[in-house]
Amino acid sequence: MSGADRPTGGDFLELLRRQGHPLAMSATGQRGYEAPAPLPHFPVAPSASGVVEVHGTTVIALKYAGGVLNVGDRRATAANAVMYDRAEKILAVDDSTLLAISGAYAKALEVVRYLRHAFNYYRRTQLQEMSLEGKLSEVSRVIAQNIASAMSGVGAFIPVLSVYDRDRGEGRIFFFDGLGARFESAEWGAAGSGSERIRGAFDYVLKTKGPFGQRSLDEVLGEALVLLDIAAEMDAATGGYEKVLPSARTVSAEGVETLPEERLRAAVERIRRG
Amino acid sequence: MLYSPYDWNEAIRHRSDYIEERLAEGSPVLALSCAEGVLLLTLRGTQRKLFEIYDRLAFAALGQQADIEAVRLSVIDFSHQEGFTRSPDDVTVGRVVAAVSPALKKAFGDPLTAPLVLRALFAEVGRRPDADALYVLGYDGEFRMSRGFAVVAGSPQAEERMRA
Repeated sequence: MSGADRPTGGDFLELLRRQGHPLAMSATGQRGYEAPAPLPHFPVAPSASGVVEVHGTTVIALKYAGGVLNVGDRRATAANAVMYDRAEKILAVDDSTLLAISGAYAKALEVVRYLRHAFNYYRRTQLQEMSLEGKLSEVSRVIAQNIASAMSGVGAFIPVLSVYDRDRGEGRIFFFDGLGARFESAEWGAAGSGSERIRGAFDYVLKTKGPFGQRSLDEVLGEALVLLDIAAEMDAATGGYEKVLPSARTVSAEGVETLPEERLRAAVERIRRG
Repeated sequence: MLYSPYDWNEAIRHRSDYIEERLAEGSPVLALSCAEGVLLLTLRGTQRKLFEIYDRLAFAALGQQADIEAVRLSVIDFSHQEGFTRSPDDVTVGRVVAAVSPALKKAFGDPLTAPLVLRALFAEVGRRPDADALYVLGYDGEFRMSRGFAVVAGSPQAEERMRA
């Protein structure tokens, strides 16, 4: 009856720590998400670890009238090799939360798995949904606890979080820096190597065509695919839509939905026709 | 403390009587397998009795609230730990019930601690309705599995009547 003696208060990390789970122990044995610190006497540089990480590249979140659309290419790279062209980088954490991941693929997937369990664990033990603020803090926490590892050149990842806020009746987009600081974005969010090269394009679209949040899903989907295609042209690590269709998901009042391939194919056709 | 065999039987019987007395008034819980999943039914008097444990696991119990809460949290902890370190597919109702049973048996048999007052029902939604698994777990740690239908009530007589 360990649960009753000292309730965890719905904190899944605390539960893992009590079990001595390596994910919950830092090198100093203190509470922390990250496992081992870099080995002593090794120069701290990405090449020093001898590990070539698989990275996910460009993910884009755009508001539309009704919610938030997330689009990601399917490419995962290790150094300059394309490792995988069916990577899934838009992941549902729960019914009202999408996480678009970029950076170290292994770490990002682990974090999504952790967050799914953490949110469910809280809801099931505490018999209430974790608040949006609580969920955002949890994401910040896992990023912050990854700093030591990211500094040593392994496992850096940056997510973009999209939620449907039921209290406000609107979609919201949050992005993070490598230390876990959280920022809310008015119209769009993007992460990954390809996103850096197209930042200006988002603002151009905004200024010439108006806020994404007031346009229809199909229009916004078209914009997202064009932006992704530009990123693919500028960034070798980003796959576009020519070989493998990107993945696209929405979060709205109806929850999380995956856009069917036909809809994406139709959107690509519209772009090709110009 | 030393017990003669007589004392031991007597002590266990007293504990059993004590628990049965407290369970007698509890309103029953029914579990029925159907095409959509497992339907759990109860008459809600004053306290919540049906709970979500894991992706395909539900828990229902009658008894004292603190004890229900203790078992509930303990099985949620077990399920999430297992589901995270292995996979959600490895969290089955059989494992969950077997994991909590020894602690109940220990509390029931230990004369120095208060026994847990509850009768619990666990339900797992299978891939097909005939794969649904239902477990009834007693305060002494004993459990039995059934398919299709299960019931927990305040007394064995009440359970018998509901089954009929």
